[in-house]
Amino acid sequence: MSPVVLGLYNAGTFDPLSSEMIIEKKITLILHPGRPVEARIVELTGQLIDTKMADAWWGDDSLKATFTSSPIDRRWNWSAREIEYEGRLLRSVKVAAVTGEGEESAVQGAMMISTEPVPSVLEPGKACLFVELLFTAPRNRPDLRRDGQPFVIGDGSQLLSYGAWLSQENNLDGRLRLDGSPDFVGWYAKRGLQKLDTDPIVYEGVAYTPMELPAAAAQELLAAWGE
Amino acid sequence: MAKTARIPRAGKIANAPGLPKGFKAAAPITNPKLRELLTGPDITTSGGVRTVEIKRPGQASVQYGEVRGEAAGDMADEVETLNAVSEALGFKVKGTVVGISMYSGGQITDDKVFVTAQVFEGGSWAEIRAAVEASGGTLKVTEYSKDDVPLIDFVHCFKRLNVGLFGPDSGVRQLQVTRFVDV
Repeated sequence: MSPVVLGLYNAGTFDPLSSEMIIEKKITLILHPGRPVEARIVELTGQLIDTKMADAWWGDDSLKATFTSSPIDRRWNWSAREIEYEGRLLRSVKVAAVTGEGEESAVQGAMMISTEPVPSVLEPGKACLFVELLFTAPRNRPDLRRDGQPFVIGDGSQLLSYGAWLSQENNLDGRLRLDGSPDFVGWYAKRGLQKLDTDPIVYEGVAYTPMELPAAAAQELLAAWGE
Repeated sequence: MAKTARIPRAGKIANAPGLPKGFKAAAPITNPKLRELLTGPDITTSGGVRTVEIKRPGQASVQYGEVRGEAAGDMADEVETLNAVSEALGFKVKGTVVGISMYSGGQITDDKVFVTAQVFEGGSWAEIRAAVEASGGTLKVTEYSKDDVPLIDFVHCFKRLNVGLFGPDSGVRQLQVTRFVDV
């Protein structure tokens, strides 16, 4: 399978990918409290969304019967989500971190990433891929679980690294942009993303912080990832 | 009779001892940087949602939240929540509440509080404005609509409200109130 290939980015123009085929990657996740488990990053298909997210995510027995506050993604329809960038929709693909096989498989986290480059803010003249909806499954969120403990850990880092790898594979040097959700700006910063000096993006009452992973930081992230 | 060895059925992958169903053990992670990234707190992107307490001087903390499902009980919680919030803001709520969410926003600085209120026509929007402005806050109103939720007012307040509701110790940095009345 050949890598996803982006079109050339020229200042002010956005050429979409010539192919949106997602390359499967084997990854390792951590089953709390510290057992490495096999997983893989795959394309998040409509079938996976229907069978392994939605009810499978929010009806999991490990979750509390009621939540103190409604998670922002509680009623999101992943099939219908798209990336809006400066008033237009970006072409994008969705990927998932999956454990297990067949009926026992589970989506542990998911992410949407643009297949069109967007301009870099930190490195003018360069381009990034745009990441949206980097989410871990509700069963992996301690605040939503009955036992208050983590479950599967690491899918956020793995998916973000995959995004940087996809960017690198397409000659964008690993650069990514995203709008960080509240309380996770520090999480992104630890992985090399920098806050941009632009206004927060307000969506459904939540203010998101624009951030960018510059090329140098992407290389460090990818080095840790083994690429 | 000779003992028969127990042979796993074809196609079944045996779980490593102690691993839940559906998981297969992987090799240990030897790269320390990767191990650090994977074993630290993971992203949950639950919008910074955590237990929200509304504290008012002289009163015990009151904890609010959204109840999952469509149970009739949901409404009571939400009405109670909005009533408490609005009381603290100094106005009375009219109409029927069908949804409320609260968020703490880590990126909001200590001297700013982010408040949104989504109000249907007929609500006490003017009263909200008056309460916020009286407390030294500033307001921004944006037309806002969703597919099946014809929201009318979307209120942003970027200054801490001096009403004993958003104290620096309250943990509340962002509040979203959705209020519905008959249309």
